[in-house]
Parts: sequence; structure tokens; C-alpha cells
Amino acid sequence: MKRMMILYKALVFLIICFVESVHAKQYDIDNIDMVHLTDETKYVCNPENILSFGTVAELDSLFYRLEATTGIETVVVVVDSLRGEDCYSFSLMLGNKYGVGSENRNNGLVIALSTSDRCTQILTGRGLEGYLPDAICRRIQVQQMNEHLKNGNYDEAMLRCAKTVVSYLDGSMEPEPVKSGSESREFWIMFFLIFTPIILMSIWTYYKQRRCPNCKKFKLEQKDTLLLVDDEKVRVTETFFLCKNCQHELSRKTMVRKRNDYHIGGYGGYGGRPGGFSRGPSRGSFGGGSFGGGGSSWKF
Amino acid sequence: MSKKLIAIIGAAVLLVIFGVSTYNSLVDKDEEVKLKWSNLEAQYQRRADLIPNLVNTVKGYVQHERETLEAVMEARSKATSITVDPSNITPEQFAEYQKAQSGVTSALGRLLAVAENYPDLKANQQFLELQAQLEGTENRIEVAREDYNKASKSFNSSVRKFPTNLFASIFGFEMYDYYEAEEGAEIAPQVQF
Repeated sequence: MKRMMILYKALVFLIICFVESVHAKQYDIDNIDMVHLTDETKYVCNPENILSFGTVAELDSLFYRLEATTGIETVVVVVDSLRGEDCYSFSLMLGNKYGVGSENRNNGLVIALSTSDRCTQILTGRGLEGYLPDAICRRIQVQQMNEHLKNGNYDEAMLRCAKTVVSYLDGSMEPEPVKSGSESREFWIMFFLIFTPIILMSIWTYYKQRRCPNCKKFKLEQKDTLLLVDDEKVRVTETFFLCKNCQHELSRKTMVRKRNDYHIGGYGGYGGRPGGFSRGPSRGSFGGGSFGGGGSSWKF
Repeated sequence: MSKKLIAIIGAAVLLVIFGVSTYNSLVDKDEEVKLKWSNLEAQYQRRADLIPNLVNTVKGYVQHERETLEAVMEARSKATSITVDPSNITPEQFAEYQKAQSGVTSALGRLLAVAENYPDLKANQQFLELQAQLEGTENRIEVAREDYNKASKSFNSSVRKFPTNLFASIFGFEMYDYYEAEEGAEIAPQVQF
């Protein structure tokens, strides 16, 4: 009986632990699911559903429009609790890890809210510090967010924050042209890597063919070609050469195997793309921007 | 004989090419360290520029804290009087510079802690925004310091590794000092409301 009690207690304890761990999940930069990477129209990581569905949709559309018109990349994270970090260092590490913002302009923006830690952070990339200075970030937090955060109205706080931030950043910059310089450079490097050997080899074969085995000079000239065999499988030709230097004559035979493809005809009809049914959302990406610590954090 | 000569010339050419590329990569890394250092100095300067504004704002509210305010101004003038070229400095001078800057950090920390006791000041919009700028600057200093240390580490390990170290000593490249973490500066001054 006593043993049963101990077992029972242990079981209850385990269940409590499990429930606790499910409830109080703590987030760090490694276990947060970056929704933008799976769907380019999503910007809000809201794993605990702290924000309502409507708010998330509105924030997504605000930041999608911002990125389309200015190129500024945003990540919004709303969680219950952060593992061992404050909002500032979490945002900084997250932004730098995923490279939010473009590499050349560093125009990333991270907005974080942790409800149990009672902290919020607006982190600006180096390229945004001029358009959204620290003092303005603090003003947004104090005037637009603070009251709603204290009342637990996180939807309203985040919406007001996003709208004000977007109003400051709207028209601040133009989106970057799609093809960046480094990409086109990579293309040319690949181009040369592939084509240089091919060109060199064809030049080499051409000269090898013109070399006279007798006097070693590149003076061989093609005189005549004879077709020896030409059936369904092979084609053999004999070519006669004459060296213009030493009058040496020689002939070379070449055999070309024909592709055995006469029975393939009639199997066609598989062309075309595999339809548009299973196509999921386009994956998003970040441009490799970095952060210098600009922005403002606020405890509410 | 001629084959030997060709081999020697070939080896010499290879050595020169290797030497030039090593030298150039060391110069690149050296420039990177200098760039990071100037960024760090710019952030210190930014902090120094913010201090008079902060002191003026606070002055009107805290009549009895003359000592704290003076300590901040003193630490600031001490820090701004030292300028440093990291490639041409003794470790002692470098340590002195770090000490002066961390003096500013701790004096500012004390001032912001004092401000806690004055509700009127805490409600002042200008103070709030100055405080945000100061925190932001402290954060930037921390990032800039890490960047400088990273660049120095990359340069220093190149200088020490074989065979780069041979060229580094020929061309007279010297290692950079690292920036030590300031005592008590890991926590940026923060005021809770």
C-alpha cells in the first residue's frame, strides 16, 4: 500500500512537471519559430497566441507593406517568458543570428515583448538609427504602449507601437534593387569556372589535330573525307591530312556511336509544370543585416 | 644548371606572391581593427556629448545632489582628455583609458540611481528620452567593444600563426591589446518605473 502511494505521488509529480513545462515554456533565440522564414508574408512570432489572430494579421500586413515600400525587414516576437535574457539582449542576439535587415543597409527592426518579464524592446538596425532614434523609441513605449501593457491589453499596445513605428519609417528609404552586386559577381565567377575549361579544351583539341607527327609543326591541313560505315549504330569516317611543311601524309579514322533511340518515340506528353495545387506559401528570407545596440527597452 | 635557375626563380616568385598576399591580408585586418576602434571612440564621444544635457536637465530637480553631478562631470572631462591610438600605445596607457571610461559609466550609474528618488524628474519627458539615449549608447558601446575585441583577436591570431608570423615580424606588425570588460558595466544603467 505504501509503495503504491509512493508510486502514485511520483506519477502526480511527473504529470505536474510535464504540465508546468508545457505551460511555462521559456523562449530563447534557438527555440523560437521564425515564421517569416516559412512564409514571407508573416512577421509576427506569436507562439503562445498572446496576440489575437486579428492583431497578428494586421501587424503582418503593416510590416509587409513596410518591407515592400522601403525594404525594411521586421521581426516581432511576443512570448510569455524569455530564458535567462532580458528583452534587449534577446532581440540583439535574435536580430544578429538571423541577419534581419539588408547586409548593405542594416535596416532591420526587432520588436519584442515578454509578458512575464514585463519588458519590451524596439531594436533598430544601424541603418535605421537615424530615422527611429532611441528617444523616439522610448517615446513610443511610454506614450503609446505603457498604459495598455500595464492593463494587459497587449493587442492594443503592439498595434499602436507598430503603427507609430511604421509612420516614422514610411518613405525613409527605397527598396533595394532585386539583384545585388555580390549575386551578379557570383554568377560571373560560376560562368568562368564552367566555360573556361570548355573553351581551353576545344582550343587544345583543335591544335592537337593540326600537329604533324613527322615534323611536329602545326601545319596539317584537311584534304579529303571518306565515309566508311554509316549504319544504324555507328558512323565511321576517314579523314586525310597533308602537312604543308614536310608534305607528310596521314589519315585518321573517327567513329561516332549513334544513340540507340529509335524505339523511344511515342512516349512524349509529360511536359509542363506539376500544376498549382500543392504550392505552399513562398519562403521568406533575411538579408544578413547587423545591429549595433540602438533602440530602447522598457520595463512596464 | 638552367633548370636549377628556373626552379630558384620560380620559388622566389612564389615566395614574393605569398609575401604580398600575406602582407595585404594583414593590412586589411589591421584596418579593420582601427575601424572598430574608431567606432568605439565615436560611441564614447556620443556618451560624453549627452552628459552635459543630462546634467542640465537633472540639475533643476535635484538640489541636494551636487556631489553626484560634479562626479559625473569630472569623470567625463577626465575621459575626454585621453585620446588613444590603439596601434601605438603601452598596455598601461590602454588600461588608464579603460579606467577613465568605466569611471564615466559608474558615475552615470550613480546619477541615474539618484534620479530614482525624484518622481518629478522621472516624469520629465526630456529626462526620459535622454535616459533612453544614454542606455542606447551604453548598449552601442558594449557592441562596439565586442566588435573591437573580435577584430583584434582575428588580427592577433594571424600575427602569431605560422608562417604569417615571419612576415608580420619582418613588416613590423604588432599585436593589439584587448578591451577588458568593465567592472560593473555589464549591466547598463536602468531605471525601473
